[in-house]
Amino acid sequence: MDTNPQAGAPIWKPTFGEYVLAGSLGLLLVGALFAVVLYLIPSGPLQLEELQPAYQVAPETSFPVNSSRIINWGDQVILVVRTGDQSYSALQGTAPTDGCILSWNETSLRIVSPCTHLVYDLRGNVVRGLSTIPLQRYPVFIRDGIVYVARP
Amino acid sequence: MRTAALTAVLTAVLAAAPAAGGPTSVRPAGRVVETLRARVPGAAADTANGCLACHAAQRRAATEGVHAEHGVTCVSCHGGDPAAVTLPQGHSGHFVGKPDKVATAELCGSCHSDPDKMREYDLPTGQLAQFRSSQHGQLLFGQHNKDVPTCTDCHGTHIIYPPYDARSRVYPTNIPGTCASCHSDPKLMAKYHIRTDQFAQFRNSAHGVALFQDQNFAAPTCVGCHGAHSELPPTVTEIASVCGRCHVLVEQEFAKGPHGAAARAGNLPGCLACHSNHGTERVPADSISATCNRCHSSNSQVHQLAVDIQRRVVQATSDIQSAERAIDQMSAAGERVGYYRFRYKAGLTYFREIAQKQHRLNLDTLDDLARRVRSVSIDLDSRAKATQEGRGEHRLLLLPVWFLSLSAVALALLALRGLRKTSRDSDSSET
Amino acid sequence: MAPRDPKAARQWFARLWADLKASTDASLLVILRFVGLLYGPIDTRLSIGAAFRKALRHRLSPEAGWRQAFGGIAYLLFIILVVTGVLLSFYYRPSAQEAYQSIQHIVSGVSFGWLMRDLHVWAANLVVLVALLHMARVFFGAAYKPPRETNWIVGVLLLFSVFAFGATGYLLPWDQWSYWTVTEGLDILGRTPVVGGGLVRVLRADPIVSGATLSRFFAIHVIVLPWLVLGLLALHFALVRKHGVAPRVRAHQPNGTGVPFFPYHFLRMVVAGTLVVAVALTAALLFPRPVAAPANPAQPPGMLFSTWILADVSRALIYYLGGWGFGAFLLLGAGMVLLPIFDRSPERRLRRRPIVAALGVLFFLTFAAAWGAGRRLRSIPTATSGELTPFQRQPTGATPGAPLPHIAPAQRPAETGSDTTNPGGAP
Repeated sequence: MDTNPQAGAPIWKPTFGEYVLAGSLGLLLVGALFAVVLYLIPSGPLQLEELQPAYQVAPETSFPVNSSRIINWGDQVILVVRTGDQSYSALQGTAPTDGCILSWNETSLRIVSPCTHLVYDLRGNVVRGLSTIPLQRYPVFIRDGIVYVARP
Repeated sequence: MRTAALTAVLTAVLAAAPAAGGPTSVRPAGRVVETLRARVPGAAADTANGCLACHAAQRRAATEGVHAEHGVTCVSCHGGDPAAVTLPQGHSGHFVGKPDKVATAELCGSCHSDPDKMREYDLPTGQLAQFRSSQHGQLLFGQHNKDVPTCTDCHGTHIIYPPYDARSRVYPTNIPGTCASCHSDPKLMAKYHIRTDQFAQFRNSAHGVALFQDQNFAAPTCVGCHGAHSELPPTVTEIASVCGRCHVLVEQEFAKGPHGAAARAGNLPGCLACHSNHGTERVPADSISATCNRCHSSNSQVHQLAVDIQRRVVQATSDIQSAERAIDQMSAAGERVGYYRFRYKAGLTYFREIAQKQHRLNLDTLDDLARRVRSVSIDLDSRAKATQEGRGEHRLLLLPVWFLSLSAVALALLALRGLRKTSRDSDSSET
Repeated sequence: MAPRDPKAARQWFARLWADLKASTDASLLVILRFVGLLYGPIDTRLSIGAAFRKALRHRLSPEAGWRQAFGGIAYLLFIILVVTGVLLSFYYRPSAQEAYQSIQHIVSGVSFGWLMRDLHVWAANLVVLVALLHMARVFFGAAYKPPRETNWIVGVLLLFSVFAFGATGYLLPWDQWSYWTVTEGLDILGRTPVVGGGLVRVLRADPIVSGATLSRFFAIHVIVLPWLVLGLLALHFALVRKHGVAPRVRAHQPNGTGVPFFPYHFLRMVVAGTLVVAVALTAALLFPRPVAAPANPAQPPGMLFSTWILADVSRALIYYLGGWGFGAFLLLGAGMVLLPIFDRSPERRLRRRPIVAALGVLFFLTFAAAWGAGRRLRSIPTATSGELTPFQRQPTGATPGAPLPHIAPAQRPAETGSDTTNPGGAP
């Protein structure tokens, strides 16, 4: 290796080994840069639906009257019932006692739990069953033909 | 001298009070039970209730308890002269003294079974009739048996709290102890050949734990299943209905199945075939077929059904548990598990339905539910596995990293050695 | 106006490059030297290229060898921390509502996000280790003796800054481990006499650790401490340059006049640096930092796992030595810090300064032992602030047969001949 101290001349002439060394270091660096570049390219921003003010349920037209839908908003399960042309009810979708997902019974117009004997009405009040805890109610609004559930 | 003065004061006060007295009712049996309604407005003061001059132990009853609040005083039940503070006069005037058990029941009933008297408080009036029909009542009224309780033994004699007051002996968490005060007494119960382990069993049961530890008053106490005043143990055909008052879905499924038919025919003690009456244990999933073998022989079709049911329930239990573990794994690896938790809740709903539907002893419904639970758990397990594998793949990076690093290090060390050699050579060549 | 044929193009580019270099001042390289990335003095009279080459050819002291590697490794780890930290801050959201989910997103939703995060966590652990090793080398090599006292103090301040970095950064994931470890730490800090209460009030900004605390910790971690450490590092490097590398304890003949930075010391740096990066990457790949449950101020977790050295060390010290033992260890540490004030004799051999040597051995051994013990100790956090006593609910039916008050059959009064009985003692 030539350590010529002259100012203008190249400081050293690399041997084969040093080329390989530079190569491996270069590969490591390139790999790191590759990772960083891929990291920085955004794939889709983080949408936190639990922090949004409302949750989109369905278009009005695909929500028949006297039917219900279960939606999952963050960690809350909500049962949305369309009882009439313009009237909707959105209630907590899990029983407060055991967490079973509730369902809407069209004939009796009540919300029932399949796991225990619990019957609620459309206001969330307990009609039958060994519980005194009512269901949480959620406001529903319609915008541009789409049904939304808002924060209680 | 003092008593004379006191008497004078009392007489003067009472002279100003409205006239005491009320109707005397005559019981059909010919006994005269007197109910004196001495309505003293507000809390009865000592000066208006001379009984307390001697019976000082009952002083608190004059002001505490629901009777005192509504103007029911000593004379209402015991008779006597409330104005007098000395003996001959005190016990004059329809004095009843200490009524015996039968007389007590009828004394209480003279007001509490009278709709006209109870209307203003909206209190029910059927207790005495119910009590007559109960085992306690039959023994008391039929045989004048003094071992059984009367009204005062459970509700208290002088200070009576309403059942919703935690000081009451018939407050839900106190009821088992009240019943146990006789029913856990071996000497007493031996006379009637009644067991004494009910309270101990109840305390350890799901109902007892819910009642005593969680203060969950949806759980039944003794009176919830046996009746408050009409207590009789349910008969064989009644058991399922009694349990079914709360466990509605279970009883509906039970009734649809073979055990339900057998219970209606009286061949099976309803729920007690598999669960005990006071311990109310859940049958663990892995001892279902052992429970069936208590009655059914082990080489029958029923045994095969039992084994099948057990297998499905055990499988569903382990499925739902592995689903929960899968979610924990994914969450620890940083996955956003909101949707998976929703799937898990759906699976848990199906799993809880199994607990009800299995009482129908029908393999098809059970299969259907178990299959749904399985699909949820397979879904979640495969997602967790995919996450783990993804993480595992990350370790493959170690290979190129170490290969390149070690070669770089080796080459650098070689170059260093070469440099030192050439510098030494050049130094030695210079010198 | 680029010319057509390749030769002319190359000449055009070469001229452009030369012009650019001539229009740049070599004092640009002073910045690099300021942050310790260049060793030799910058001759600003030369062009930037020539000045760079001259600086590379600077001959280091013949005392400089592998012993001095720890400081540089610590610096390399710090650079890794800065780079990964900046990258993490591209996606991290420092609010109590979003912090946890943003970390989840980084770890599972962003390409190589897991790598950046785990590398950041492991580099943070390693930098504490390596800084302490560096401190041990300086301590036992008596490199804190005059004229290097100030540098020792600056170094110790750097150590404290590293501790502060770790402590503030620990809260940022906002999961149960972070939240409750920091709550415990602040509670312990608050019990320091005189200053504890005020300090914790300023740090915590709320009666409990909350979003306000998160904002503060984030600002300290990302703005205040980096500037502080930058300044301290620059001072540290300047002082090393001024006083030179401390000579070895055992007198020996230094070989020659020292070798130029490039290629000798550069190759040594390549060896050390590559190994360190590989070790950090390996740790990050093999032992990722899991994401615990999201922070719940109402419910401490059943077990606390800490992934930071100092948390382990302090927990073990408090557990095994109690509060007083922990205080004694802190005093020992303070003694180490103020060492140059006490130990001013020029004696550098370890054998001749037994007290100091014993102190040092005690400190470092205790640290190592406490770290090992702390890793095996799992702490169950107690609510040291009474308002947060968690409500323990017994699950229904989970513990059948739990002892309940015994209800004895009531005393039956003796038969007195009257018809009535009055069990239960109702008044």
